[in-house]
Amino acid sequence: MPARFAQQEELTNVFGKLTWDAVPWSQPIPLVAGGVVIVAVLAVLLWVVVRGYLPYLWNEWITSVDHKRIGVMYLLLALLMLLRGFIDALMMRSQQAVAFHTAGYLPPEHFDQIFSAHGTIMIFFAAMPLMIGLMNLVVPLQLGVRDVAFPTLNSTSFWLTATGALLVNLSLVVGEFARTGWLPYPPLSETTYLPGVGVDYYLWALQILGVGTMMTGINFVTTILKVRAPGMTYMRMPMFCWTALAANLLIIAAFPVLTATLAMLILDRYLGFHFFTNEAGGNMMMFINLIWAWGHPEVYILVLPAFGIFSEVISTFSGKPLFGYRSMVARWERAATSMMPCSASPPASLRSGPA
Amino acid sequence: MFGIATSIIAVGTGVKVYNWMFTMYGGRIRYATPMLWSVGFIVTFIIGGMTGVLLAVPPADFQLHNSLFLVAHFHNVIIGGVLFAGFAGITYWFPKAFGFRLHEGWGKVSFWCALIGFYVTFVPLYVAGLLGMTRRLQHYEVAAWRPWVLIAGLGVIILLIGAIAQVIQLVVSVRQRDALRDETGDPWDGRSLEWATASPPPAFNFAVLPNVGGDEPYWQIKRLAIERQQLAPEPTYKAIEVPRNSPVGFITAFFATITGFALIWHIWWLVAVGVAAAYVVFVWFAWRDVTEYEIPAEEVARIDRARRAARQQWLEANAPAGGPA
Amino acid sequence: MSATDAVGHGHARDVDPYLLGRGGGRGSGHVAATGRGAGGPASKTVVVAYGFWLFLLSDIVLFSCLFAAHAVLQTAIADGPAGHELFKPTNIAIETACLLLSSFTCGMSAAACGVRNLLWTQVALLVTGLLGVAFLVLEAKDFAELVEQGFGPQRSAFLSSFFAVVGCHGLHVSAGLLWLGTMMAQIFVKGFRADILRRMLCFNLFWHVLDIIWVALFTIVYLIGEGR
Repeated sequence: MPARFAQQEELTNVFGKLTWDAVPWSQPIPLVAGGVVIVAVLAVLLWVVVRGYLPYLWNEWITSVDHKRIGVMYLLLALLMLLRGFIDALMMRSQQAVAFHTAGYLPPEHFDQIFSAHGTIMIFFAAMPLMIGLMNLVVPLQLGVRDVAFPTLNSTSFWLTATGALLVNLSLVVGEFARTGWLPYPPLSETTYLPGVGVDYYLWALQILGVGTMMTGINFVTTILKVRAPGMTYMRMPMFCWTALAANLLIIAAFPVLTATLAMLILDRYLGFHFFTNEAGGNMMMFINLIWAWGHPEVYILVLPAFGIFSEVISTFSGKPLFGYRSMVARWERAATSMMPCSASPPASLRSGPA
Repeated sequence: MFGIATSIIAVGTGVKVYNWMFTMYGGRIRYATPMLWSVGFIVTFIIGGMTGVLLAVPPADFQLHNSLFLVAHFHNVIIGGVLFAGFAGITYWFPKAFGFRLHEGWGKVSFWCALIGFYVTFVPLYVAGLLGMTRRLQHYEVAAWRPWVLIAGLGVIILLIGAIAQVIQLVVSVRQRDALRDETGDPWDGRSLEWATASPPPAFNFAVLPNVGGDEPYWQIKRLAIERQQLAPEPTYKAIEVPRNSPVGFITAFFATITGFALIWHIWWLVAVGVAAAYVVFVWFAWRDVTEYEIPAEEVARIDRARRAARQQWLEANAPAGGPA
Repeated sequence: MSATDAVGHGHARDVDPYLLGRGGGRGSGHVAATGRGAGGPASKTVVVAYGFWLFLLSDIVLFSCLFAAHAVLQTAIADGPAGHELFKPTNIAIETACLLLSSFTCGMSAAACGVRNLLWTQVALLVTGLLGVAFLVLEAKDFAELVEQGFGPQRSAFLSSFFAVVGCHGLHVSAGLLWLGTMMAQIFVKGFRADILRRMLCFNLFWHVLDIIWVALFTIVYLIGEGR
């Protein structure tokens, strides 16, 4: 029977699956943590409104299409999410430090959500926005131009990223998060084994984030290739711009794969499709292949801008031009173009069958 | 296949590391905070890369797949690579974005805490992984792993201190921002065009787009100005069209949040509302007639002249010897 | 400092404000623009079209994932029907004809736009839209029939991937039709303004690419599927 129609009342229930039980009343840790965050957020909002900063914030930051402002907002989001992910890490380390021959203070269902949230938040909402924020802030200035190719699209990208972050954090107070780790391998991620909302939070947050990141990719490739100062040929671009180009080309090539793969899992969970199920011909290994076809380029998307930053910093603080500019450029572009064919095969160890 | 792919990556990365080291060689190195993060990266990333090559050997990988060795490896490259880069970049470009530098002392404290904390946290995890501890364990009973897990717990406290130091750095820097002010827009003696602008740059970035004649254009501009002891002549200022701010991004995301939440909780009517609202926002945005506003030439001139005055002051203050500190 | 030695070189300063050109900018007033894209920022039309092409390429990657999944799952019929038992060649041929013809009329609308003929632009767009609707109606009927017979996407992995890839294309066509309607309204209200023309260009690209994807889909799903 199709999963969606399992409960007939759902169709007519105004709140769908949402009930008061979604709030973790009986679990002190998420309850207190969620409570503290809600109070803090409300306090900040209240302070902003009372002090009259809201018009300034709305006009100068929230609705801004200026790449410098958007870059700063990305960095702020990244640092906040880095903090949240770090707290997850603190919890994991402390749990492992005490849980020798004891159960520790985090029950397994909760621990599973923590390591999944840690990975998801760190990769998608801390590392990506960190790199994208710096690219936003710096690339148009380094190219000698006024802004990126599509400023309003840039703003939309940022706010969609923030939406994804909001949804993941909302799972702390309303419902639960995925318990699959940061990559939701089936069959664990199918409704047979995890029928709750956790995996759904993960899936929709990432789909929305994926749309935002795709737009960033398109924006920056167009900017770097078509919007530069007069006289700036390719070989006169700073190294950070080259690595930004390579990373954004990879975003355009890889993120559609993420979108498609997560969409297939969504179809499995919501409409009872059989892409990755255990029965009716589903192929669980195909999920692993597809998701790593995205996953391997993703780590390059993260590390190439990092290499670019180091090239800039090392060159400035050594008082010398970058050594071997041409060979580095060749290296980035070769890395970007060879990423897609190489990433089609997942790590060899994953083929060794069930552990 | 995996081994071949790893070799391609490892060899190429090695070449890049040599490039960076050769860039440093023979230069006058200043160990400001961004440079510390960079040197820390080179060391840490190399170690992480080597453990990655180790993992690429199939028999080793069979043993170590999904162990804490793997976890330590990828944290090694991600923290050493991406996180250190993030902090280097933030420290380096913060003055450009906000007009004042970050406090150096607290920056150094947070760097050393991060570096030491990273090693104290993750080297024990390499050992535990080699001893057979798998990832994502909620509890365990093997006594041999215990000391390493405890040391890792200590390491994460050091990282926490580093994180607190970062926050303190930010607070202190904001409070002391006048003392840390970046007057000229070029606090680090930079080489690329972003350092040609004021800190923070005006909405239009450059009053006149620079015409680039060679590599490292800003370095050329500076050298010429220092040689001639005068700035380039003042350009003819024209009005500049700048895109209007727009709430479209925020509103789209607002409805995306609602739609996402509704999809998660199977609230189907709300999904329909969210999608319809997204379409309406799209059409409303597409219906705009005025997308830009103009900054008049006098305003551009006023802003740019202020920038030039600051540069002129710097030039005079650093006159005969030429070259910054 | 600066104004006095500007005699006769005012125009060089504007194109080479930092005097980086040949002869320190004193010699020629020309921008030595070599290499692609080095003549300064490209025009809005180029930038918009380039960005939209990149989006279309990413969409093609999305479809290729779905095609890959279909290739893997084509034989996973779970004791259910295979492709050749289900597909009706006539319907598919009519759908293809509708879509190809709509591509032609879309091109006609672009030509009418080029000569700023409001009537023919709207007529061509309308016909494009109607053909698109016909395509969707036929496809929806096909889907409904399959579901009625119990061969919906929940029956087997093969059917899942069939419904997903064809359905994804259908979703794109539906979005395209919404866009088409909006474009017709905008042209009617605002006329042939520069930004409206850029959007028409993007819409044309989108519609043609959808057609190309249909040809690929048709080949992989129906033609190759028939043979199994």
